[in-house]
Amino acid sequence: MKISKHVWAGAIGAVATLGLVSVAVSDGAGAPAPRAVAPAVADGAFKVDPVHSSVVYRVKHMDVSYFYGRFNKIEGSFQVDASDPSRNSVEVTIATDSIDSNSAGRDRHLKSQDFFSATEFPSITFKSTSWKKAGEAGAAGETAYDVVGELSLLGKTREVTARVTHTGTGKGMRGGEVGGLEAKFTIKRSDFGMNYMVGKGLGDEVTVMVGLEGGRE
Amino acid sequence: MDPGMIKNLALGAIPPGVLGLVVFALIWMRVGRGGQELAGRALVWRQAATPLVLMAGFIGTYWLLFGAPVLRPTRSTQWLPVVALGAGIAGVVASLPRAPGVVRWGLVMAALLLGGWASVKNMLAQGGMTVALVEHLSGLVFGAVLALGALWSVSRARRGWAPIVLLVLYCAGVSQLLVIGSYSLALGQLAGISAAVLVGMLLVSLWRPGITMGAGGVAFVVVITQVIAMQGHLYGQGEAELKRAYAYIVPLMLVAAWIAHSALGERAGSRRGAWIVVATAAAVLAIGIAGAGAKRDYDEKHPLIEDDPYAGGARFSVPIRQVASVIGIHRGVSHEIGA
Repeated sequence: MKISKHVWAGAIGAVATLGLVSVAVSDGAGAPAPRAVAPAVADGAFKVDPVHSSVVYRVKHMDVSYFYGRFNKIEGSFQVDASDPSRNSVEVTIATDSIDSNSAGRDRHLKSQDFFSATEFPSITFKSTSWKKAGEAGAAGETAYDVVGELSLLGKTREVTARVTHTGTGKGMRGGEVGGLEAKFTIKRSDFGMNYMVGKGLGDEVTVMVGLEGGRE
Repeated sequence: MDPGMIKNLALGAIPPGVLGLVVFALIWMRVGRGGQELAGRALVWRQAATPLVLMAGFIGTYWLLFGAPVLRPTRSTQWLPVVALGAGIAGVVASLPRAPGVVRWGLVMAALLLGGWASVKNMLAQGGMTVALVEHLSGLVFGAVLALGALWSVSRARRGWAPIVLLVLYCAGVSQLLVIGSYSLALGQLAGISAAVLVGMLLVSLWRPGITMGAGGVAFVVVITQVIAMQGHLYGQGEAELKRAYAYIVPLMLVAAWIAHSALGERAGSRRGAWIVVATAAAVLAIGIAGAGAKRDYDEKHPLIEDDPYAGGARFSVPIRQVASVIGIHRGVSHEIGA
């Protein structure tokens, strides 16, 4: 009786091993390739130039210093009308797996499920919902706004308020019209379910700074 | 090592270990040391306690590490407390002496498939069911059936520490491979929680050798560990080749343990038999982990940082690769270590 039980268990084991082996062999590149969907650009809006745009973040490390990192792939569009801020908009998509912290090993850790889960959530998006001229003036030739928008990260969407500055409009290198925005806002990463190491050497608050340059479509 | 990381590791290991030790010691003192001679409610209570303690250990430690479980999970790891709850219920039913086999297996599979669905949910939303997802789900079920078959077989035939050590090796092996292959310390820690609770149980079993593992405890550990392993495989940032390699290691360990257990036959219950089964599993796991470690693409040390923690693997990789080259695991190892 004991032997027959063992044989039964062994048969299951053998079949399962064969199954696992076939799964492992046919696994290819592992997970399905993530898709990041670029937002559409409205008529007359500026299309973000990824080469001249930047996304930088900072987070406190060991409660003593600020660490800065960046994302290297950004897409989107924006529209600024100084006379009528209600017509303004900005929509940006950042590729999560483009995170760059100046350490290949740390980048892999940041892309893992401990932080951004880049395969599961290939993009981070921000879309403005309201614009209001800020009380204090920006630098010469610049206009500051308080912009409310929806930030989606790790499958959660939260409302955030950003200080957005229209930094200028002019002629680009190829003769077309170009414009620029700068945005800064702070979030709590735990609000988006990114709880790993919060309070254990890595800050909860993350400040995000975005510089956008776009060409008129 | 980063003090925050040490605190995190301690939180993931000490509370569940203490919980296992204290609760199993109390159960043993309260219910008595009788095993099969226990009858009725006392037997049911003691058998059901194992998956319940494992479940409480998992959910409680998850809370300590990542905050309170959320009511509306969005990311796959946030589903793990829910999966643990399902696995705990399935484990309790599997512990009931009169539960029909179809109910036991059915609930275990239901908990497993809940974990599988929760793991691929976001990928389904992105691109529908793909071949890769079908493969991952199949791997989840096959791996669980293999683990349940091997671990149930050993735990039914043996009392005392051997089945518990085998389960600890299973969880710890998955945990270590997740850290090496998926770059996720959190997933590694989550897989290690059950190992920590089981170490507490192991200490009690050394004090009272008659303790039994029970089908419910095995069911809980297999369901939660397989789901965590699948998430690491699906979303991990390691190289595809390495992920493929580590998919073999734990199943091979289980098969080796089962073969050793079967080959021993009547001698399986002896003390020497227990050592042989455990040593076989440990040897296969150690070789596998050394091989996986050797194949990992360790990151180069940062040219400007004297003590780059993310290049830490490099400090250990040369000896690991040398061992791997001796046993012929790592291709091109001599070139890589400059020998």
